[in-house]
Amino acid sequence: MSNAILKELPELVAKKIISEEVAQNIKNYYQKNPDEHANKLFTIFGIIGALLGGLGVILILAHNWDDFSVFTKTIFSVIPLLLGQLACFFTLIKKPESVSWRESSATFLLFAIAASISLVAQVYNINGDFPKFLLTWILLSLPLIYIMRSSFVSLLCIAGITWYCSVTNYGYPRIQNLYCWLLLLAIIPHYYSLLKELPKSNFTRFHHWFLAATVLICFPSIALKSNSLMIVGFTSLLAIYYFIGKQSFFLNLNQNRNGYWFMGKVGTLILLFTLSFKGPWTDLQRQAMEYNYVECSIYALLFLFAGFLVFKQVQKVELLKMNPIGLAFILITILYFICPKTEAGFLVTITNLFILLIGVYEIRKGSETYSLYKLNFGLVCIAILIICRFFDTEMSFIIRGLLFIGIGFGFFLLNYYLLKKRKQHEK
Amino acid sequence: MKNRNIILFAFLALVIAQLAVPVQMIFHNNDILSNGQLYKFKAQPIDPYDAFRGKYIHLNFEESTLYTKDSIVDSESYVAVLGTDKKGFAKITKLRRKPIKNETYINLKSLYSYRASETDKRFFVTLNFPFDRFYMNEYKAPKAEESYNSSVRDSSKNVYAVVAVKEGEAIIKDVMIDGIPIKDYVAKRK
Repeated sequence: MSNAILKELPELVAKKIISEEVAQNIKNYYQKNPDEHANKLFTIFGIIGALLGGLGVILILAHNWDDFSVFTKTIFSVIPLLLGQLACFFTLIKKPESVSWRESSATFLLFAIAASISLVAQVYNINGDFPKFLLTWILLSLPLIYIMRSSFVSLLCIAGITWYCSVTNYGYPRIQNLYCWLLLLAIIPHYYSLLKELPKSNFTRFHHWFLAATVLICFPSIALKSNSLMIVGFTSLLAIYYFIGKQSFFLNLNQNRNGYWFMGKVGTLILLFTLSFKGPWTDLQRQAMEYNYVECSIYALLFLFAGFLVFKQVQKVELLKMNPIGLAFILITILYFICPKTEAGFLVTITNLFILLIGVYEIRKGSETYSLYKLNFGLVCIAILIICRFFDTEMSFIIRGLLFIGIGFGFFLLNYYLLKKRKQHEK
Repeated sequence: MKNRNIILFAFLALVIAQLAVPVQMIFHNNDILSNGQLYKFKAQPIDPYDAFRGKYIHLNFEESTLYTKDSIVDSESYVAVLGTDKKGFAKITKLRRKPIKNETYINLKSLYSYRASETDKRFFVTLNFPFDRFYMNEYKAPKAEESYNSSVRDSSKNVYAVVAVKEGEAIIKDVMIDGIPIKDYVAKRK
């Protein structure tokens, strides 16, 4: 990439598109960081190598070399761990500043820990308490994030915490598991340093996605029993994601479509589409509201924080010009609290109208800003809404057919109109 | 320099912790194997797969279901007091919340219990044994299952796990078909 730009420089100077000085500055910039690209590649290949190597060791040991004695197998079981520790020790002494060395040796050690514990369990036929195994693995790997300054290990630990929370929280018998939140807290200092020091790095971007997904997946674990009030906390959390994703931090980095924004927007839409059916509302009406103070306080805090973010947004953009998706949490909360004494049909109608409003808003915004993405996003919202209604209404086939033809034409005409408008605007 | 020393010290502590886990597991389990009391549990093996630890034969123990006078609480910890039947196989004699001195017992979890029938006042209890896996070579585990299936048709053959038990903890030492270790039994049938 840099070579291609450097080759173009004399021509750009000759055609007086850039000055000599600018050309020199560009040259200096690329000469200062010539190996950055190569280093990045080396880091990626190093991590892939360590990942595959670590997984390979686990598979080779899983073969079960039963011709060896228990003593030999026991000795073998700690060898991968010692190798990983040696690699990390070498990195700390000789290559402390090399990202590739740090990331790949720490990744290998992370898998070596699992390989060693697994092999000992295999030798002694220890029963599979899988959550305990995952917890031990995560606890022994977490310090590597800080000692080796390894962001890839941090990502793997986040994935591991999600796994651990899922096997305990979604398994049978269901256990309220708050350990995963403590483990996640241990990742936060590293995430903070990434945000401060390397906001543009790919590792930081992946952390946004991983952390947002983990918090969503682990969210039900805060409830002692599954209860319907969680919907308030869940929708508020999605709204918080949406507004975090729209913060100036991301806009300044040119990362408008970041993990938080995407999960907040798509998550809210999925929730709204689910609630556009009658079934979930009648289920909510049937369930007795059972909850404890701790989880109630958490949901209330999340709701208040989402409300605060709306308030901040209103100071920048007029309330009526705001994307209604950011306000969905207020609507869902109100509907949830009035649902026991309200007809399900009314709740469904309101939710459907709200989705329609989001679709219309996106189409209007797309047409105003000449954005085909926004225009089509709005159309897709309306199309999905119609498809959903295809299943649960008693409309005649003719009306359904006409609706589909109508939305098809709508796609075509609106895109055509916008492209034409864009061309006129460009002239 | 000071920072580097702190990092190296932290790394050393981590190395010790990482090594301590498998080493502690090795010593603890070796102790049960060498000093534990041996019991024979009648079993029915099948061969599943564990992504980390490889192929194993899963053992369903006959003693994991039994009748009791009193009902038990589902998904709770219990101790199963062990004895032996006339043929020398392990038998659960009592289910208690806490162990009593000089008894051989295993710590386990209850799964569920229900009244056996309207006329029978006893409760049918299902238990979750803490040992139900016997890891085998990936090529031998399916053959072991085949061997078991053919031996089970022959009612004269006995399949059982030899289990070392110490202070509530238990480890499978071997799985036997008619007194022959399953590994040798599979090799003999080749």
